[in-house]
Amino acid sequence: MTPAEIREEVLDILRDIAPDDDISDIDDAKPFREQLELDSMDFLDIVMELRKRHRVQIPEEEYTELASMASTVAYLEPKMKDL
Amino acid sequence: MAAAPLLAAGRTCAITTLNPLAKMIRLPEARGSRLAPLTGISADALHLWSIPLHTSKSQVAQLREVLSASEREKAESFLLDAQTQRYIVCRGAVRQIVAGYLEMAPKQLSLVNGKFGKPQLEHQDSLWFNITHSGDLAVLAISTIGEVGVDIEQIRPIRGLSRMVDRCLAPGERPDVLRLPAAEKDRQFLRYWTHKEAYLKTFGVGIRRPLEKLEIDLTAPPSRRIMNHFGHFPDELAASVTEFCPAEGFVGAISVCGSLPADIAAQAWVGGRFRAQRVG
Repeated sequence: MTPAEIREEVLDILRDIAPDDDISDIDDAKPFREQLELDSMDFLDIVMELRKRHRVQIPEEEYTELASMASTVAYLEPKMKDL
Repeated sequence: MAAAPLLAAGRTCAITTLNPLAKMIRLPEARGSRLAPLTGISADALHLWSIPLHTSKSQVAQLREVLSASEREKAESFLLDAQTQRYIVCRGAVRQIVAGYLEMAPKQLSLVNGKFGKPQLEHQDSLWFNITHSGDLAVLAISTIGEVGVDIEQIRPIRGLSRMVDRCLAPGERPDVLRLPAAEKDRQFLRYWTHKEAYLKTFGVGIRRPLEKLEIDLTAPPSRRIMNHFGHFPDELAASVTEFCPAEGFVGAISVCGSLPADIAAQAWVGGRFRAQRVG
């Protein structure tokens, strides 16, 4: 997947988790938690949805890489480039 | 202005926690409550404040004034107005209540984030707090015992409950959720979740640890509820954890470094009345 496709995939997951939010206006550089009311369980949900959809494993110590859209796409790119 | 009166009789919820089977702490409803005195807190106190996050626009505007510049900036960065409002009320209430304990103006309070983002008081080693919110309710825990963590969750259907159970619960905990009828599984899972969150928030580490390696016994006394802490079986008290009922339809847990006091005072924050007495 390309970075643009990964970004769209993450947006799709966020739409499921935070259906009330208009995430089309999301700022890629800002932390998700400063734009959306994502709690710890929502965050874990993102991790598990990535695993379910794409078999991407994200260890707990690397959760901080998923702070913003930009950092998430950068982190996932090598893991999803061959999908 | 004179010190505010105690909570009206019957509103204070000081319930013994020494007996593990004691009646669960139940937070009072905000409506009609009065402000408790904030100063003179004892050295082994644990207070819980319930904070309704839905309030009038004028109150939101006034609470916004007590926030720091960075808090106001963060408030404006949310994509939805309702989220901005909840953030302002939550942080504004935290500032008002904590500042009351310290006899400071809310705006002068210096709040910093710990290594993993846990808000804490700067240059303060005798008062600790922690905040949680779910839906339109927040709960603030105040402690003079040591670091404190609190978590509440509105009871709701959990997305992908079975995978959440696998990911977040220890093998020994899973049957305790899965054996229940469908209607009760979500609540039972959330009881475990709030215990684990409160415990991890005590140490400011959040969920950056494998939750399935943190094992809880919901029926044990508070000092022995943590059965297994990431492969370590603590034989000495690290933190005590117990649960409380934040409101109808919610579950909650509180954890403190050390022993829980005999009484946990539970009180309600009411924006207008509190503001009128402490700031206005």
